[in-house]
Amino acid sequence: MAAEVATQWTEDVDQALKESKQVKKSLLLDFTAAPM
Amino acid sequence: MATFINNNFIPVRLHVKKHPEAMGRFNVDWTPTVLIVDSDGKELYRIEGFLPADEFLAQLQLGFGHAQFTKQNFADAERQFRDVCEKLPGTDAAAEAMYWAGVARYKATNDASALKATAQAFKDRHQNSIWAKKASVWG
Repeated sequence: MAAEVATQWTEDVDQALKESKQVKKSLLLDFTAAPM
Repeated sequence: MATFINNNFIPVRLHVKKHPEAMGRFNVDWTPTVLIVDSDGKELYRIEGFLPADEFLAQLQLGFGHAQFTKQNFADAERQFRDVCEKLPGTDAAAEAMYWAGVARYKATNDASALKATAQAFKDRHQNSIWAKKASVWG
């Protein structure tokens, strides 16, 4: 059985923006009020 | 879903109580809200409210297509839009994806027959959608 892939979430927007420039990917920002 | 997100985005999850400043920074006043933003923080696409998994994936792919379109990667955008049409045809995003696939092809080729073909395709699928009405002017 294939292992389930998990989304690799981070919470640091500014670090993600810096990384975004390097890897040329857009950010996906998920705003939630659900328990984390 | 997770594979699509990991492959195409840097995923950031922000809880409203832990990161209230981010709500104002990105003009978010309701949850769940999902934004696609570029490396300058400019918003490219917005999804507001809960969606079932298939509808959410379709919206996400639609948004990714729009992000490619904004970057003028029209061939990539069309591929993404067509993927929604073919793999998630029963979703609400499918009609919009069909419209934008035609626009992306036109932008990539400068060939207006792409728009006419899209208008024709709407005669067989998604006839009652607002996107069919928008495409009707093309043919």
